[in-house]
Amino acid sequence: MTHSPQKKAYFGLIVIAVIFSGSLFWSLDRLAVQRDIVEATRSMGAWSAAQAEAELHRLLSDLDRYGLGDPKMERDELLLRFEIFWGRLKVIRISKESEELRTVEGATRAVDEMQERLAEIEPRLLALEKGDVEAYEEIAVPLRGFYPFLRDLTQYALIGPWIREAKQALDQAYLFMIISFAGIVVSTTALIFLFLRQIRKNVAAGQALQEAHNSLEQRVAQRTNELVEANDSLQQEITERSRAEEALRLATLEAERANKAKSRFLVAASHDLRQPLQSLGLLHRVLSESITARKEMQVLRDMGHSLSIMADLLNRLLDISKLELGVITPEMTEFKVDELLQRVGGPAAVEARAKGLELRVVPCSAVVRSDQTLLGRVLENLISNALRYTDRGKILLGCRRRNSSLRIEVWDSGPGIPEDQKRSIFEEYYQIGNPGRDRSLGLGLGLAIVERTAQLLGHRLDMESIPGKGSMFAIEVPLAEAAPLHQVPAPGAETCDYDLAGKLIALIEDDQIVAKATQLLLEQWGFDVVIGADGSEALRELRALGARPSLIIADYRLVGGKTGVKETERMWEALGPLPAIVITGDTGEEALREIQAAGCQLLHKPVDPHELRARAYQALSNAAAA
Amino acid sequence: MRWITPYSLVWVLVAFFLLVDRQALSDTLEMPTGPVILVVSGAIANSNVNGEAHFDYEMLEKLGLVKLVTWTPWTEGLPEFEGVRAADLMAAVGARGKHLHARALNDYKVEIPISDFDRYEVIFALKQDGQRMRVRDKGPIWVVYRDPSTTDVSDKMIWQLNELRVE
Repeated sequence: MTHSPQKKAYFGLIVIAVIFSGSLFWSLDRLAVQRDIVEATRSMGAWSAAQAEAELHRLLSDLDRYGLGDPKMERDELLLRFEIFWGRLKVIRISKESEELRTVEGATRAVDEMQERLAEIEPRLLALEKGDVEAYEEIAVPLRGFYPFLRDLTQYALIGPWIREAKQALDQAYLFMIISFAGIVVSTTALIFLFLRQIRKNVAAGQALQEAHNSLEQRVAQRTNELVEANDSLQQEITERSRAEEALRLATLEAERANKAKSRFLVAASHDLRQPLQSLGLLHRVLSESITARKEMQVLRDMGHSLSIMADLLNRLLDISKLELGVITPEMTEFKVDELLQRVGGPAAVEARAKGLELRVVPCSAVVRSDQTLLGRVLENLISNALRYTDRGKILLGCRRRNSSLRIEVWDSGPGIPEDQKRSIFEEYYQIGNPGRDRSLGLGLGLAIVERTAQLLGHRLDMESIPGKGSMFAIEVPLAEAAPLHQVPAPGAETCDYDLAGKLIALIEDDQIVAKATQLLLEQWGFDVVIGADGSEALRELRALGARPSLIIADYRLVGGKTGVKETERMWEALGPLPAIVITGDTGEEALREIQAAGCQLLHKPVDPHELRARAYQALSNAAAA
Repeated sequence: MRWITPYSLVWVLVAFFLLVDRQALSDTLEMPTGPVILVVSGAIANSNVNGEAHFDYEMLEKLGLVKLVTWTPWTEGLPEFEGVRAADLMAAVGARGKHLHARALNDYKVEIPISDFDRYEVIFALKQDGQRMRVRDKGPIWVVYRDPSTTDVSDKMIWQLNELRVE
């Protein structure tokens, strides 16, 4: 951005202004000098002429008084006036201030004439007597003749041509001054105009810049605002979300807590219920095996049915609670799936027939890896469900290989599951077509148990259903890589290859009724039973008999903080290793772990007599085998 | 001491008074004998008539005349003036003021600072070119400054002076 034309213009204008300023100062100085000259010459010239005129007047006045005989008028004073007037004429004739007056044509001569006249008058004046009017007139007349000339001289001093010349010079100086001043004004104005224009340009540029800056600022501010707003809304959202999350977390915590509380309640309740139920079951078995009358047999059968339903419900409750609490640890083993299918399918087939249905179990030679008990429970539940909801048709239990896993499927020809309820059926206490909550149809825990157990085992659960045609539930179990290491005989198998008679069982149970019922049951199976409220009591009894038991059956929770495991161990100390079964209503992991760690067999309350019998046989045969 | 007699005492007293009188005479000015050409009044120590100092030509001449050659706006050439040095006149009257209010026969008045008499060469001229100045020639007294080139100075060159008042 160069402004060389402007710079040149500036320079030129400044030079012009300086020149005009110089000429102005010069003209001002000249003007002052001229004015001084004019004023001095005019005033002095006029003044000396006027003074002379004034002195003439005074002289004539004094002369009048003296000539007319004024007694106060002294002769000396008159003479002084004469002298003074003469002095004035001399000043006009000689002095510098009267130079201009003397330029007047005939002025010098006129003054000289007047002095000559004065010289003539002087002797007469000296000789003048006071009151001598004649002599006075002779003197006064020529003196009066001086007036016109002096008056003219004064007039001339004020307006004469010489003063015109001086005034011309003065006017020239004035003109020069005015021109200089105008030049200065014009050049300065031009300078100011140029300067203003440049300033305006600069200002305009500045304004443009400012505008750009402003708009930029505005944009930045806008963006900032947007960002701030976005940030705010984000912050708000985050806050809301975190609040929601917190609420959710709290709700989840609350739900979990509620669920845990519920589970704990259920566990406690089922435990408390189990004790009397077990007693009932045992007593029922004792009764049913001792009563032969038909009518009572029927009552007993109904009673047994009710008891089994009750035990089943309780078991399911317990199962789901235990699954909820996460206290069950699956024990993965490899086994032939066929055995499991038969064990589950057998009782179910009977039940199906009772309901007029056909249940087919398709044999399978596969060996799978899973927890046999838990998987069995899954299948039982699935079959039980199928049976419960199927009124006619078939139920099929079979397997199909799929890569490295085996899909165990349960088919039914039931009503199927509506699409919108496919998820709900896995929820606890959910039942389709049971709004009246008929408890003979169960609690609606079956599929919930299935799902939880499958999760626990890590098996995939699958379900297909066509409403009106039927449903299929499947669980995918990994195939074992090799043949099963050992084979667990199916519980409830009646096959027994050694004599149970005379086998002594030590029963440790503090509840007398339960102990009695169990004793009766065991004795019916041909066992001899020694009962003790704890280990030491049982040992005392045994010592009294002088016998050694073949098996220990102990209740886990005993009075006085004792446990079945500890009492069993006490027995072992006295008697050496013996197979032991610990029955517990406890679902606490601690208890289960303690039982398993001790090497005891575990039975959950309420104990199914068949299972107890099977376990007892198993334990005894294992001990015999060992 | 034989000469201490009543007569001698009288003579001593007379001599004493004469001395005192001479002292008094030295404080005051002698009386003018001719026509008075200058009257000095105001703050002066020495006077002769009613607290005023009246001078005739001789009295002024006795103060000592000095010569001063200078041009003036009212004379031709370089006239030789002769008069009393201003400072001498001030000393003669015992002036105690700062200014002189001067008045001429023609009633012209001007104020002259006494300090001028230190700064400039100023005389109360009585003669021009050896001649006593007549009134027509700006006499009897003309206050002359040497080289009155500015009006400030020339305005104070009062002629036909006859009165001074010291303030």
